[in-house]
Amino acid sequence: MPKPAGPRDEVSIVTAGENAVMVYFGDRISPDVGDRVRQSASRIRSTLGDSVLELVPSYASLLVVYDPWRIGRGTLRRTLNALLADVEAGDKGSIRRLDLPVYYGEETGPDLPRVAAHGSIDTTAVIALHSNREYRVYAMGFAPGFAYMGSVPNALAAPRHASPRRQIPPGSVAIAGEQTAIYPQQSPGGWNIIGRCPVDLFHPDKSPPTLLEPGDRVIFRAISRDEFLSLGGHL
Amino acid sequence: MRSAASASAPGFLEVIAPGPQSLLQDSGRRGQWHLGITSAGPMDRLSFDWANRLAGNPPGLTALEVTFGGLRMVAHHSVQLVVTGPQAPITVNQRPASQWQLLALKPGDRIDIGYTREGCRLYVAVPGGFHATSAFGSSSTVVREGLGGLDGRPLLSGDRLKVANEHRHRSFFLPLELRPVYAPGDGAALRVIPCLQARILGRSWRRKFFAARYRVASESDRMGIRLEGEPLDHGIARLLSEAVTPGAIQITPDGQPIIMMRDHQTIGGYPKLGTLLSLDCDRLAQYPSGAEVCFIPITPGRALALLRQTKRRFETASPIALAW
Repeated sequence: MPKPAGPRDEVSIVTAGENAVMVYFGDRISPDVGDRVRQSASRIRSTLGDSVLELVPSYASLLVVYDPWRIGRGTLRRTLNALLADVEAGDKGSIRRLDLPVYYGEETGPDLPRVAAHGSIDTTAVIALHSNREYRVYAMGFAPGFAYMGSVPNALAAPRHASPRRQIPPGSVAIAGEQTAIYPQQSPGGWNIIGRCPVDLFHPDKSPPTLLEPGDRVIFRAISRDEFLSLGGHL
Repeated sequence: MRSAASASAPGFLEVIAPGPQSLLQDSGRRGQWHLGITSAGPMDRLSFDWANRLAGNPPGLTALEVTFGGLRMVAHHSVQLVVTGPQAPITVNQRPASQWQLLALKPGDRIDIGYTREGCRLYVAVPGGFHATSAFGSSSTVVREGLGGLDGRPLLSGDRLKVANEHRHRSFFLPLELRPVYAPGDGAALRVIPCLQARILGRSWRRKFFAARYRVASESDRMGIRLEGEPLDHGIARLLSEAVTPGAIQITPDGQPIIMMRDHQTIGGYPKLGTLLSLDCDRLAQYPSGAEVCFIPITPGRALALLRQTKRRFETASPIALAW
């Protein structure tokens, strides 16, 4: 079946430091853009190998940190331009789908009322809207194992707190605008906390150390307090 | 690695007082940002590199980063060590001892590293390096992530730091003129490659930033150095979160710059107007709170030339050999 010839965001390569460039794929969150970022990352990794020191995909960008003693800036830019000229949307390879249990409630999600007020709905509707819906992992970052997922429905897209909380418990399920995520470790954070997941998202001794990776699809399933505790969750 | 002969078993240094924050650091983690794991490594890489060099080590072995000073240790076997970084009062058994050269401690000797007034971070290296837990290919401690060093935490009183039982037969001393200059002086100029969101922010905004003077704020740490000055109203409402590198100059919603350092978050959503030259991240890491700084723009080509020059200078500098 032919792909619809929709508008395509221009790729631009911008300097990001003495040995880094940022590749931009437009400025919006969408599955198409996410696919292009991911495919570009795998092309760059396989072509440039050890010349690339860090490769960090995000929603619509890809950071490339390179070894300046192995590859010059000009050569890198030319190589990237050639590599990325024909990257199309569309998923290659298999897609992982994961169900993650979440105990939603004010005991674990102090911001449930805030998110409800944002959408002028009640907290039961917040839970119903957030769960049983497929999210895509767009980026890993901020902290080890932290997965940036999107997109939450507009009614839930409450902005982050003006000043972050000092301590967010591990496993906290959170919303910031159209993004949702789980905090893998205790950390400070400004996102709206609506529940808690008992599953370990980061383990330094496991391979791979993170449960999630970009491209994964995640569905949150609401569980009871008892189920949360029996799955090893901590209150 | 453990040797069977007890004479060459690894010895240790016992921490009597750790100071405000002393951390085991090697040269840092590589290739882990995509998991959300930060760079880590020494805040001032040049002083760290010199510490290993003067200890007779290959580059990047695990050393101690001592913030401000205040570290006291007792040797439980014969051990050599070197302290680099800004000038600090150092004594062995209460007798003054030198920085920038390998010192020999006998069993029972006590070393006191006092507080520095010239900078912020001292480095202590031993021949063969300190023993530390490796995580993701590096022993560097990141307290926030709980990785590296001693279970991911700073040194505590009573810690026994295992050191390799390697000894050097000569000591080398780095003369003053070859050492880094630590004091910021009267308004240090830090070199910046304007990039990333600089274009969106526009020309007048850029002019303002490069004309401004800032002070290093006290809430600075290994994650980022906060600066205070005339607030810059950038008017960028929303930026999609994207990867963040060390040296990135983020502008917070209240219009103040934060320079990302070794324990930077790997992804963030604040607009950035450029990236500091890595050599100047090393300098900035030594500036105490209240120090005045300003910024000057440089091109990526100039940045690379400066990196090459500094690398060559380090490789060709010859410490002076001393007789024991």
